[in-house]
Amino acid sequence: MRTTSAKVPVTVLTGFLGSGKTTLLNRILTENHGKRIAVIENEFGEIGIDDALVVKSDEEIFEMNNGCICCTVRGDLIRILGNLMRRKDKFDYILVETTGLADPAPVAQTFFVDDEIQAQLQLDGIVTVIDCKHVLLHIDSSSECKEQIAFADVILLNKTDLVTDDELAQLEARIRSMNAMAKIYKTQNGVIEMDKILSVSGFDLDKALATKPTFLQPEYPFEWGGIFDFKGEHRTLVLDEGPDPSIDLLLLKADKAESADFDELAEAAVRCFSSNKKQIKPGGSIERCDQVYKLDLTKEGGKAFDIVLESGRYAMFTQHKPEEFSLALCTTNGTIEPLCSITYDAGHSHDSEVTSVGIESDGDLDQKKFNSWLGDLLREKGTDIFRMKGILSIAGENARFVFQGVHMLFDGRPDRPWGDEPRNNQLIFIGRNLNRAELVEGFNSCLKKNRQLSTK
Amino acid sequence: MPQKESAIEYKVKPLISQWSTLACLDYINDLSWSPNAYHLVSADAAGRVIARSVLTGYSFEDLTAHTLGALCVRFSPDGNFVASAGQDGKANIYDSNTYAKVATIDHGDSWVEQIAWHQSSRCILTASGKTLRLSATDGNLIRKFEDHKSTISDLAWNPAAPDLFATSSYNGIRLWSKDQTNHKRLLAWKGSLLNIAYSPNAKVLAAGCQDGAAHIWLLPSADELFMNGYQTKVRELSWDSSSRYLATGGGDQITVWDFSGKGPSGSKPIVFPGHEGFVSALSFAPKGVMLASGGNDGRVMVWDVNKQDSVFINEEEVSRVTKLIWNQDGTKLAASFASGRITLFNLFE
Repeated sequence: MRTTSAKVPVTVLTGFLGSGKTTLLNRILTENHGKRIAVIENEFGEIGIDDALVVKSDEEIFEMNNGCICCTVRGDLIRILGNLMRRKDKFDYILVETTGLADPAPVAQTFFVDDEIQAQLQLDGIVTVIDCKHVLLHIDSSSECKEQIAFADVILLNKTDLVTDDELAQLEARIRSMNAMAKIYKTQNGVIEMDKILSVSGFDLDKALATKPTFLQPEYPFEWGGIFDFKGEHRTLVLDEGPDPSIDLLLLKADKAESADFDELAEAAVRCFSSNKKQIKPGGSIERCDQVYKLDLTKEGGKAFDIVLESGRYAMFTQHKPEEFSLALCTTNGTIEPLCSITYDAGHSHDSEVTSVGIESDGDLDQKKFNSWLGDLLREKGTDIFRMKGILSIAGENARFVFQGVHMLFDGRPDRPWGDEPRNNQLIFIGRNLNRAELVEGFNSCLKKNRQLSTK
Repeated sequence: MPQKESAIEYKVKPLISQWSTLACLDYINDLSWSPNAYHLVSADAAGRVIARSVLTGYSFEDLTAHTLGALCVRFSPDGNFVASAGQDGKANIYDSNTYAKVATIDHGDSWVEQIAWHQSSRCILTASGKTLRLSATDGNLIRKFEDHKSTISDLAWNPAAPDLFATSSYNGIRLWSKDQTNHKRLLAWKGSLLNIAYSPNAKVLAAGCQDGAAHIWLLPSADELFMNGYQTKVRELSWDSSSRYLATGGGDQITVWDFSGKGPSGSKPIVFPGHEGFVSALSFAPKGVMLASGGNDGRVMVWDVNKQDSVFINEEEVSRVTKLIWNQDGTKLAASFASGRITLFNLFE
């Protein structure tokens, strides 16, 4: 057709049976958002809203003979979506609900592979609903469960009322280590603002990586956080010997003292931890908020550090758990106990099977070398790479190069010019058995000038 | 390069230059001529089945037949019935004199996407999902064929053996007799097959594939030919009446394979570029070597395969050509469009 109209967005809803997928779907349909929504529901689905068009479908997964071994598509979706788009009273939005045990790859790939679908529809995002209480029963044994987490643009940690704050924090950290790109929201009964799950542009090249500045942070650089009220005189941090020769510590101003506030504080803390750390020896002082201090603990016996900050409420984040160093906050009137605290499971003990590898680097890429590296990588490891996204600085090009991919299917093009923005490269891989060192080294070898490379 | 209308040696005179139904301009999914070419019926995405008189343009009936979308419509070979099917899970049979509904074949929840009349006009195949039924014109079930492992994407009666037919689905084509519940033969091919076309002499079976290929079986040996490298999935297949040429779409050009002699293996196909955008419909005239093509660009073209050139081009429409069908003697060509328009071309007098 010569006239091109805007493509209709499609959101894919995945999640295990009982995760709250259907409740969320019903919520989306009854919410007053003014959208005309069509739903393609799996054969076990049970929604029944009168004014929404619901099409039931058998998930038919077709392998393609196009030389790409992992390329599968949903044949039923091609037929149904193609037909729906012929209606004059077109839909503003399409939701595809998958069965509990579905692998999201074929659904996503359908939008890359079929020319008719590509011309009219845009995959907006994959939303994965997780039952916080029961996910731990599947997460280790089920590859589908891991894939649903790894593929997601948005993850809803649902049924948070059934777990403790600690359990929730641990689950979140674990999921974050598997998928560093997704937005994670905590919900009960699937209650969430619609704009957090619809029109998120997860597959939109124009918005590749634009959503979250800290997305490259796959895990928290601290294991513990607590909120304290600093009262009294002469506040001193007292530590004993611990398993490590030093501990990183950060204080941030805090308003409230509820565990829900840790989310925002933790994000700020992650940013601080990525900046330079100031090393101090026992007897030294902690004088600033927003500054991460590396406390030198090599001296034998008990060690004390003064806190020279005005009274008020503060959040403290520590690299290791306080009890490992018998950390205590003392004043002349005795020790101060935290009002509330939270434990972050710090990455290293996590799922090594499904992980995210983020690479961030200055310097310009040699386009030829990069193409050949990525080509080889996808040929060899395409089955294991679930999703990737990136913004690249190509030597000799004024425009940013943006790309994304699902398994071996790759989509990339020059974007807007860099302008005043500092040129750099950011990319992320989410997949199974990813070798971080190898990926970083491979990427590094494609850089034109060998400048400093940092990975997080 | 395609020639303009004025340069052709055939009389081109649009009989009724265009039909646009007044109130509804919906995507036309299917179109069928009555055997005497007096009537034309259409099935559209709004669920309507509309029959029109070719002479007057008068619309006989507006049947709100398939509420969620009508997918196919077909005159019976004797012209006495019209069958339609759609997203309401039903196939309807109408008396073509009165357009009264005489039977309904109920497939339950799932869309009925394929129908095909038996040559006798006494029974019809209807397919929805993995279910295939053969029913009499009164709607009574004659047989259910239950071997399918995935959705039936197309079905076709064998032009040389009236009681045999073929169905396509993922991973192969099944050959059936209408008198047996289980298939007689499986032509396996690992891939998603979208449609099938028997050569008129029934010696070749062609199938279009999702992954940019056409797959060919020579019968009865079932020797296979692979045609790869198409730009898109291959939705469009059409044989000429002599079974020599197979025209295929699958991109912005038309590829015609020549099956004469040892061909098409080892031979170069004839290629017709002429559409801006992907080809969306192909149809050989019932006699001779005139090939009609339509594209996403709305262009309707007719090609002379012997001269390897176009003899007609019409660019009045800009929306996708959804169907091209010739009347039985090959004098009239009807084209339907995504906009809901139907245009008739009176090509050979």
